[in-house]
Amino acid sequence: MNMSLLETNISIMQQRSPNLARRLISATVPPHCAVKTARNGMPVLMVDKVTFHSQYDPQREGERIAEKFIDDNSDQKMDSLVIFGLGFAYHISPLLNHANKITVIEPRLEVIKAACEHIDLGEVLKKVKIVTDMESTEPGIMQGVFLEHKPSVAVNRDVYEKVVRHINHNASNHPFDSIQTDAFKIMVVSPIYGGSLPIARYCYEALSNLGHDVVLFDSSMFDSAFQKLLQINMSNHNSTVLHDLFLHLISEMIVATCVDDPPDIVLSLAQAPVSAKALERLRQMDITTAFWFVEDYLLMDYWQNYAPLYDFYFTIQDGSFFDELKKCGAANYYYLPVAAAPVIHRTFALSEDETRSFGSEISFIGSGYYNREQFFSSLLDYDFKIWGDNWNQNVPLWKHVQRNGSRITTEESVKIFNSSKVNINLHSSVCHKGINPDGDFTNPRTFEIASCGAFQLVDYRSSLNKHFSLDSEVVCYRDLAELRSQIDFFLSHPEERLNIAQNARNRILKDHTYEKRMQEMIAFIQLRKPALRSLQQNKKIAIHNKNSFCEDYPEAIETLNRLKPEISNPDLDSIINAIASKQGGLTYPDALFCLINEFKNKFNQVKA
Amino acid sequence: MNNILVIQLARMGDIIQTTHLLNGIKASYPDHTISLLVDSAQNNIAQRCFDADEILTINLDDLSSVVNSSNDLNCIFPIIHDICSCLHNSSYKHVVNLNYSHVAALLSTLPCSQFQHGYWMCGQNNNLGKDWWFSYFNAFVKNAPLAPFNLVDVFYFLMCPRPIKNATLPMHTSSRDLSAAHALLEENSITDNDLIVGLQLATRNRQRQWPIEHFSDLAVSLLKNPSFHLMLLGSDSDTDLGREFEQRLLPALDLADHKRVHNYIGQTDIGMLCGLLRQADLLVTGDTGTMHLAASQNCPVVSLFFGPALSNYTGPYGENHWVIQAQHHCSPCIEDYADCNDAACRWLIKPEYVLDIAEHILIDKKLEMEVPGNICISKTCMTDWGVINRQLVNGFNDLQAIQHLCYREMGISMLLQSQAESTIRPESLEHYGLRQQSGSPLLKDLTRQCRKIMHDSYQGHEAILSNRMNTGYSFWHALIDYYYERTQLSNAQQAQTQFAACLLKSSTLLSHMSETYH
Repeated sequence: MNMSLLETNISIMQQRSPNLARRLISATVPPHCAVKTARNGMPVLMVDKVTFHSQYDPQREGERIAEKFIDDNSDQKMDSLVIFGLGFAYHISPLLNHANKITVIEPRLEVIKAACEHIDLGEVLKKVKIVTDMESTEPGIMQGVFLEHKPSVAVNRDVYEKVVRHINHNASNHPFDSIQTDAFKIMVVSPIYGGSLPIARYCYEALSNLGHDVVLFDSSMFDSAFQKLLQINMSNHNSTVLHDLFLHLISEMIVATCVDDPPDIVLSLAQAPVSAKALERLRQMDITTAFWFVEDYLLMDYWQNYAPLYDFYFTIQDGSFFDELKKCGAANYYYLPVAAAPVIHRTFALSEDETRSFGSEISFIGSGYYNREQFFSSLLDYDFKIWGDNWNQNVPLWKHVQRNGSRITTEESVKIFNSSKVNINLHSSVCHKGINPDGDFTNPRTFEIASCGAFQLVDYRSSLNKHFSLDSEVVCYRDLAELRSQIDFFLSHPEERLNIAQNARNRILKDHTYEKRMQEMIAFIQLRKPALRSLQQNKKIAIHNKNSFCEDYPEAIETLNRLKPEISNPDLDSIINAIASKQGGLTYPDALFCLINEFKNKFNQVKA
Repeated sequence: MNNILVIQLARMGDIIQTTHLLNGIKASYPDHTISLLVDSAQNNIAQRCFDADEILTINLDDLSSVVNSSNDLNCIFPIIHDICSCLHNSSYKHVVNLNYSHVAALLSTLPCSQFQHGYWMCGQNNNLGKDWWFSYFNAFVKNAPLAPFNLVDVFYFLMCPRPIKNATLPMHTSSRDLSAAHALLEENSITDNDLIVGLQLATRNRQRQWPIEHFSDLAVSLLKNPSFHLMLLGSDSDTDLGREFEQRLLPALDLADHKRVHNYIGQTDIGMLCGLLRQADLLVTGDTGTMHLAASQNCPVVSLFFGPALSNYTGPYGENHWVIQAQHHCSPCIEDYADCNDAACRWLIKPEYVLDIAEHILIDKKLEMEVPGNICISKTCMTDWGVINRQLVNGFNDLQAIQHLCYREMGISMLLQSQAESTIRPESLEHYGLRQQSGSPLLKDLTRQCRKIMHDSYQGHEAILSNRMNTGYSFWHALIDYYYERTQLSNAQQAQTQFAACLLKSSTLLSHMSETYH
């Protein structure tokens, strides 16, 4: 320990942050904060076995972090900076001249003390305001371009989440949707069929629009074979075995696809055919797995077996469902309601023929659940068109069911929404006679109708006011009488209808697109799993300083010379290719490069 | 530079299976020092290898975590260099790498050496090179049940291509280990008159693990004999399995018998385990490191093979161990991969078969069991060319027996480099029970096939390889695979000469058998 360095640093700090300086004097550096010496002789901090800086050249690494940060934010005004994590300040020093005001959030007093003991922080302390506790900071201090020091985030994840929520205070329901995320390679896995199939496609489109490298594993390509399988008349046992084998095959195809070209994240939508075994294999490959359970947890109970197996579990319900998820061992769960895809769910000018065909005073699209059949029987005196499948043919309601109860495509549903004066939306239930009084989540149809700029009357759900302003953006009913009076009112007040519909569409465009949801999902994943970033960076493992490398390992020059001279940061794959194309035996550096490559690839090997 | 480096980076069982090779090298190169390179996690077991003069360790977990800690080669490279520099700065006359892995092959290139054996890096395209002997061994990957040599012997013959004089797995067990084991048994009131049966419940994965229900049923039956004591063996990670076993077993026993069940799971270091196995009268186990350790300590073994485990490859080494191999329609399956919902093969070996053999070994009771056709029972016996499993019940069929014998004889003849070797050792036919069957139409057909392939071999590679596509010629597929790989990896002319010699050997053997039966 260098006492004079500590004293000097603390005396400078006393001028700017006397309280912090006072606390530092009595603080101790516990054993879990170790200081090691990098190969260039500079001290490097290690907290809870996390190394805070490069063990080779921490100063150069700090400069690189700063350069990249400036480059990434070249379009922003660098007046104020907020940096999460002090570490030994190697990443902060190069930024001192790039901003007028710099705030550093360092939650751990022991880190600040260790930095004061080992680093000359004179210039840093003169320019930087260090805060340890967000609660007591003055207003405005957290405003600025945000830089996170990744190792500091890794050891202070909870505080970091609070900081992020604080910074994004305005977006109270969706605290992570404005965080900058890295670009990832993502595989979206759709179910074979069902309501979440189109959502998988919307996710794929949205993630692509956000700049991620996305592939869609479209399980619906197996739909016809699967339906055929279900039609074969066989014993229950055989049916179960064949069903399992079929799903297992698809699951293995998903894994094999990942082995060939590993994504960073596999996102499965509800009912996607990904087995527990496949999830285990993906985990072994260090691929992050996420599941978006866009179903009612009280109705579909398979989540109990699968939620603990996923790294991330996104849900459309919170509250008591979160208690259940915690109980069953799920690690990272997050409330993420469904949304709309405005490119698809759009306003639409219909031809006269189409209006005749799809239009009506009131309409409903959806399957014939028990509660709908009961409830809609009392609306048969209206010009009421019902679209969708699974409706009972033996009741008077049937004559309102269009096209003999065949399925409606997404494109057709958009036309129906656009051409109905009032779109009825009633969430399904298998046990209520009409409205489920305890219904919580909001169904996709609510967002889709709104996105079409169409008018809807929706049964009351407890989550609805999180997403819309009631009455001005959507209108709710709580019972049949209220619905009937609302229908009557809005059929006779077209301007009110149009205003509310337009407000709803504006709200969708602002807050409820799949792009917003995917942004929020990825930000949450990245926040909870900072190592994910390293994984992506690991794929680009490279020599960052070629000259210094060649000075240290002249034997490697022969191999590196086989690469194109303009490549200043040769990556490992190129080096391995250069070694493979050489004649003769391996040099010592060649062998080390190959060893590094082996350990890098060990998660990606096919087990066969 | 009279020194030899042997690289064995695999698990405990593999290290024990390497000891016979170390012993052979010691005898063949008496003035050389032998260094054994192992993963740090296996240092304790490696320290007991009697014939290794020096144990070197490399921490593979450390290497992996360093490599995955950063994306900057400027950072990673120096650390990897530090870890590997010791190996790089050393020189060996021979480097022998036994692991079919790129990591091991790369490590084998680091020291300066005159001769490389086993698997190594080929340089261009980063392919693995291998000794012809390992190519021959690898040719049986697709025909694993017919593998003609035990892995212990495969390792041994790599460096010592001659008859085996002293078939042992020499592991060091100190008098302190023996005293400690003795004291533990005494503490548990086990006397010299008692018979101790070790039960190794766990295996490295579930596919190889005999059901705990079967172990428990076996234990109940064994404990009916008042002189039998059971000791449960295993590591810390097997504690739950041990508890499950006890929960199942103890309620089925009289209270007085509880004291004859001794749970040592998680309580033994390697020394104590060696000592206990030395004291034990029998070990019942799957294909495990403990099985190989028991064999090294001359503890009789009843070993249970199914799933991916094949007794011809990795069965217990030495004389008079018992092997029960279960055959299922899907046997053998692939390690770590088979997604077996019912794992039916695990249940095929019934406790009563094991009990019968155990009582036969321990109290010389006559064997009375009746086993179905998918259970093969054999007993190990030593020959000049290593261990073979003498099939007692439901062994090879005629074709398999002839094939196994042929490939074994071809291997031996190549090891001896005696291309015209025609002597057929008496052991050969006897061990396979071939004297009992007439077999002439089969032999005639095989002889015809052999002549056809010999003829093809004069036409060139293509003609030979075309026989690989002929399912009627499956007898020869492993040989053709071996030939093909040799032509890829080494001098094609040399490969062809060796191939022709093998066919000649087979032809001689087939004729000899025909004469015997006619």
